Amino acid sequence: MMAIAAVREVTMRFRGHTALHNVSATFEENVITGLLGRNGAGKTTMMQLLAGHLVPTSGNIEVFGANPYENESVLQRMSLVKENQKYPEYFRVADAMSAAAMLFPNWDAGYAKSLVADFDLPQKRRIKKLSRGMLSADGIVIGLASRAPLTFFDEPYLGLDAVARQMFYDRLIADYAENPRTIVLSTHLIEEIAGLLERVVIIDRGKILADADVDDLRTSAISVSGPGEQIDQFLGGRDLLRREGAGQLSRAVVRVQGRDDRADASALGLDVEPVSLQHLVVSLTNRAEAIHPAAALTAESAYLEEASR
Amino acid sequence: MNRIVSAARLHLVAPWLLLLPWAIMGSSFFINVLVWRLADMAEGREPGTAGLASLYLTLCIVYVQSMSALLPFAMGLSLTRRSFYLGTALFAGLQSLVYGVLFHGLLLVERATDGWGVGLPFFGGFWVVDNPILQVLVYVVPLLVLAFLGMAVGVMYKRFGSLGLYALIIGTILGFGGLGVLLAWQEGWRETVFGFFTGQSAVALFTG
Amino acid sequence: MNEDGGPIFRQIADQIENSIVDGTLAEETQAPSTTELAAFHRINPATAAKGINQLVADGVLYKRRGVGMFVASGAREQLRKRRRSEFAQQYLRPLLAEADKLGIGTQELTTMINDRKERR
Repeated sequence: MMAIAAVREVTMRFRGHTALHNVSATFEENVITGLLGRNGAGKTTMMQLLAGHLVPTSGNIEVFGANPYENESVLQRMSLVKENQKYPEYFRVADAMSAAAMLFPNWDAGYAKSLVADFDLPQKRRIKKLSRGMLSADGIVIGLASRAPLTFFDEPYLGLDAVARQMFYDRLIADYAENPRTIVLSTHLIEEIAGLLERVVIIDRGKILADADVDDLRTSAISVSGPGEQIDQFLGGRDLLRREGAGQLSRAVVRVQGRDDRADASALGLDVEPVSLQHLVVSLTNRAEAIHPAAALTAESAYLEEASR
Repeated sequence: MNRIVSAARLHLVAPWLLLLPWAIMGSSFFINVLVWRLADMAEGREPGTAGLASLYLTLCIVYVQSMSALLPFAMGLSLTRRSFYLGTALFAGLQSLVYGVLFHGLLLVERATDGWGVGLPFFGGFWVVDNPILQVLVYVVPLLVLAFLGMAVGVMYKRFGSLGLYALIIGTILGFGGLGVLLAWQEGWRETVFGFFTGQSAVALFTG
Repeated sequence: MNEDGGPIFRQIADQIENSIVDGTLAEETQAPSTTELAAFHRINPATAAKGINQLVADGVLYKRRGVGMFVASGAREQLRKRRRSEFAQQYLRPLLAEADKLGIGTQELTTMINDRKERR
């Protein structure tokens, strides 16, 4: 699989705040990759760097084999749907679509039309007057209909209700199946889109926690529950990601190599369960933030709260 | 080249901004006609009104705004800054040309109706020269200058924010003021420089 | 698709295998396409493809050029055989472990099994 975009040892500093610390990650061609992380982790910054909207303080960015900054041929093949995209004061939805049609070489007007209908977007309404959900829908339509070989969606679902979100995922999958392209999706709603992703890049406070295939990542750890002592025994020399509970009701998320590890856990009388992607991301993030167990629960509920917004 | 043309076409997407300067000028025009009519101003009045200038100023402001409104939007649609600037410049050039020709046409109507029936030299006044091509140029050049000035100010504003803009204005005032002081101080210079300016015809000024 | 149920591609493969074993998906008929599977289960088409490819590698499905994926002849028998050998590990072991926990002897177990069978 070819890496179509990469950040290499990139540090991004804004006035008094470092958004990214020496990060390196790659994005593979024609794969749907999730960029996962908490608010403020650095997801948007990374996307803006890849889309050529920002210049890194140090390190380099490579997209389609070149530096994307002010690079005409690279930019034409990319689309970045920002969550706070600015529109001219007087633009209506139909105007935004016309403008997009002018600037995206692969724009599919028919597809855009059907998407606008699907999302119930009022064509004649001024963009400044759209609700948050409709604004997101507008961004989604542009991102999807652009058919740009490299399409970024930065938290595209803000303000969309569950029905509209599901429609987005369905349309995304359908279009990706018919017209494969490289898609990078940033989100903190992990559980919802876990099924869509093939790869994930997990980022926390400007650092990369993981850059891997989703299935590989999910099978790289298990959740064991049972008496604390047995868990301690099982832990042995293994990599602990997260520990919860106490005494008889303890649980731990542990990194494993393969079946043998599972057998070992069962042999100790522990219950073994697979780990969901969300649980894994939360565990990795918490460990990185070295939070006290009580506060770790807060981190998890923070993910869940944000999901219900 | 294609991208630049697309960038230029962007300005045509929502015609609101194209109509605004004309709307402003239109209202100024009607007010002028009324005033001229009521006060019977045709007699002994210095030629020229500020009416036309209202369109020019509005245009300048439109270009300032395009930097903060259209540019981020265009970048969101994967356009490079460079293409946007060049496309806007192209559009400004074409727009100025079209406007210049339109104004000239309106000037001819004005002459034919003897000042719109009330002797109002709206498109006439001190902007007038004999040669029609030069006349169009007289209209066009300030439009272009103002458009680019607007773009420059817009870019400055984007880059340095309001503070930067104020700094620029203050700096410019100080700069010109300083220049004025310098010139006044150099008595000998005064005659030459001012004389030079007043001695030039309108044509030379506009082509220069 | 069960997020906690192990690799999704494996779940896809299992589901297709199930329908072959119980006869709902007959041999030499077309299997669902990756696009259909992806849309239905709301998963990445590449993941669906992985599941299908696994079945092709196992000889359960084969590709007909220009048409799609088909269930191989003998697939049903093949899968049944495999599942029979896994039956003891997958079902008997936990059953016997549970029976042990509850103190259900072999005699009682046999009676229970016969009763159950009659009822069906």
